[in-house]
Amino acid sequence: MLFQTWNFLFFLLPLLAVYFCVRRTFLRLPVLLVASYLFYAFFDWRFPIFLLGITTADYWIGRGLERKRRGWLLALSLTLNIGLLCAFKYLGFLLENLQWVLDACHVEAELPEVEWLLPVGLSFFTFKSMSYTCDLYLGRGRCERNFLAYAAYVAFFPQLVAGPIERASTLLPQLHHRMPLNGDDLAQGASVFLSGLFKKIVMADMLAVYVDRVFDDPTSYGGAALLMASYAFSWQIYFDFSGYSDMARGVARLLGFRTPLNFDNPYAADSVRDFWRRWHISLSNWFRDYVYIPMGGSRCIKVRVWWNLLVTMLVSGLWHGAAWTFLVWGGLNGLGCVVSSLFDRSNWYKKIPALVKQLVVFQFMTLTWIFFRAHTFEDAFDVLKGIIHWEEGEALFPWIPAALVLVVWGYGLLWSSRFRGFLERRPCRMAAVALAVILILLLGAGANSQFIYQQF
Amino acid sequence: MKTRLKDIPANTNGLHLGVRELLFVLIVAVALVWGGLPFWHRHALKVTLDKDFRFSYALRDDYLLYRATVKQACQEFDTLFLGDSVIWGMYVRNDSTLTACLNRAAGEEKYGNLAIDGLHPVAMETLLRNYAGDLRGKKVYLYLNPLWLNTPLYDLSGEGETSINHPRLLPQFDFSLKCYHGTLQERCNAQRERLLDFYALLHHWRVCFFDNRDFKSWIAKHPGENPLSLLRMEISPLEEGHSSNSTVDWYESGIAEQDWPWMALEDSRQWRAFLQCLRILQKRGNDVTVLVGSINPHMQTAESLAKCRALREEMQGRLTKDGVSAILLPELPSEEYGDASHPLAAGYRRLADFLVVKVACSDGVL
Repeated sequence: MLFQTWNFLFFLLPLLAVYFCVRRTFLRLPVLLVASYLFYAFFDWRFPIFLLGITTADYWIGRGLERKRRGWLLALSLTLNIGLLCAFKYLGFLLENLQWVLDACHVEAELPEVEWLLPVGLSFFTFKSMSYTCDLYLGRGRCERNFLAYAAYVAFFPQLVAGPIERASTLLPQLHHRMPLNGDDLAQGASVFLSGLFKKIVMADMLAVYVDRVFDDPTSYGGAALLMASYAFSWQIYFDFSGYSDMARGVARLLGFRTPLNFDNPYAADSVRDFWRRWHISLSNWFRDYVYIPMGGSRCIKVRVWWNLLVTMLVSGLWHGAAWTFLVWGGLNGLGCVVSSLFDRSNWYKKIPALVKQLVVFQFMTLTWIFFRAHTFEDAFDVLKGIIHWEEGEALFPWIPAALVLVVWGYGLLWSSRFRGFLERRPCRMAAVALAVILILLLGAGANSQFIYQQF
Repeated sequence: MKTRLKDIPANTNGLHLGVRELLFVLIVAVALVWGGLPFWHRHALKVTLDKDFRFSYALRDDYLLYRATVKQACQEFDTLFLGDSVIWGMYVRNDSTLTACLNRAAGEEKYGNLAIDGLHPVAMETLLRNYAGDLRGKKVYLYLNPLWLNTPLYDLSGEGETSINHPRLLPQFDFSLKCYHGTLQERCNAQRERLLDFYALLHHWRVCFFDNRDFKSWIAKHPGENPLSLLRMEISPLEEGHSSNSTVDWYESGIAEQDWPWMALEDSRQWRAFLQCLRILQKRGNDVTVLVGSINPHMQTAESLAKCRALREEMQGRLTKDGVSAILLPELPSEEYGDASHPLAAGYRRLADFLVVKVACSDGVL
């Protein structure tokens, strides 16, 4: 059930009405929980079984950790969550590569091909659940004794399919203490939802048409088209995913929940590390807290810090997908983080104008996104080869999305400049929202394309 | 580690409004797009109907344009013919359709062809209700093609897979149409198009100016062009694809003999819809004459033919009993049928001659 479809509207409107009636009663949590499981079952009736399994296991592990910090309990939680992820997401990839190694060694063995149905949002809710048990083990969080509250936290439907990966410490208190729900919440929720809807169905979907065409057959296009498609994908994935996050946050807000920002103008970042502080913030924080810092974080010798950065980004790449292209993408980002951690401290780098740094970071991210978007390694190299050799051919990039991207980028630049006060004025905000609504109505008819991050 | 809830900003780009601001913006933007734009378009659109007019096959599902065409046709013609591809003229040029033959016989452009290819009665009911209001008070010949009742699937009362013409005109939430398998998204979109002209307008632009592509695909295909420059407010929806009359009859086409079960009128969904069409027109003060079409008798088994003839007579009988003028169109010679129900040019001439006499008789001229 995608946020921009009729199905979701027919799901949300009655839910809002019911939720509004029961928000001050004991029925609040059961209603939210049932709604979340229904939402998930809409994708496939079998999916809620996995969700319930993980939720129940981690709930009881949490109760065990409350009594005593036992390492084996944490290990059990990690094994269950990562095991489930491996079984559904990585097993096929592992077997495929193992088969390749066996073939290379001339060992005659036929490994089975695994094509299991990947439960939508598995990577998101397992990470959510793992963060809870990790926090309990590390003494950072409180154990949740109410099973309904914990289950509602893991299954919270606005975040279930593609995040943000909300921590128990911010969502559980809101599930317990009825947050006031007033007109402002509704208006804020609707505004953020509209902003996300605009990003998805106007911007991302419009860029997707060009990007899909070029990346589906990169050898048929010249250097200019490949370069433009790479730039376009940088924006498409930003609009697609931040659009989803905005819609998720907007829906949560409509229900009275305040959830953290997941994107903070990432293409205004002036270093790769800064980019990862602004892009998919909830995931970056997750990796920072549960991978990077436990490895030693920044409090070690330089080489070790670089190693930590590299490993964290490689794991992040693998989280995104079971393919070598994602690993390369993670590795490149790891290298980018290492280089930017070197540059950040140097005086000469500080003197470079912010706009130039932003452009360099954007170029670098565009390079890494090529590996993220390409279907295979060969496709990624075909794209890079086409750009480097600058093979002939016109870009034929449509001017309308280009103009819209420029407008949005310009808006972002102004927002981070001293002109922000101007944009914050009521007429400006109202005109911007009105324009977004008009474009949504004009371009959104029949929009029901999937979100990129949904596949993770 | 702990995030203070008050510190969480709603958005990074400032696009958040208060209750009143949001309501104001939504009302203005929605009114402008859903109300203002279609209203302006409806009054600005000019449709020209050329000689031997019939509605373009390529634009057959542009119902907004059809509505504008109906409006214009009501100003130009005394009498209008409504129906499916038999009236439209499947195998013939614009100058050989039934209305063209009648106009020639009358010596003036008196009869307008407002038929649409594939328009079965269930779809016609929605079309008349939503897009043909301007027909009010006109003399109308309503064509009833019995072929829509030949099998449960064609009748839309059976279960199974079939390709249905004009799915956007079906009653989207009538679950007795078991052979219609539209998704919720498709059903809601079709319903929305009927309620809000804006969505019919978007479809009109797509069909007329954007190669039947959605806007996003079109701009990707035409990167340097300005889509607004393509929009025109003067349109001639004349059929331009049929440049010659087919001379290949049903037998030469290799169509095999058919043995259709034929629906009983009591059980027929299409018949029920046809009666609804009649009621809509009668309520609007139209002078309606029903033309009960003929089905090719030469390509049916004896049993099928007997049922078909009985059905046609029953149709005429019931309509006459209800006080509706109903004319049973004659069966044509074998070589004048292109298939089960579509006449070739000679067939249309014969039908026109038949109607001229009928009309003259009913007007007391003969």
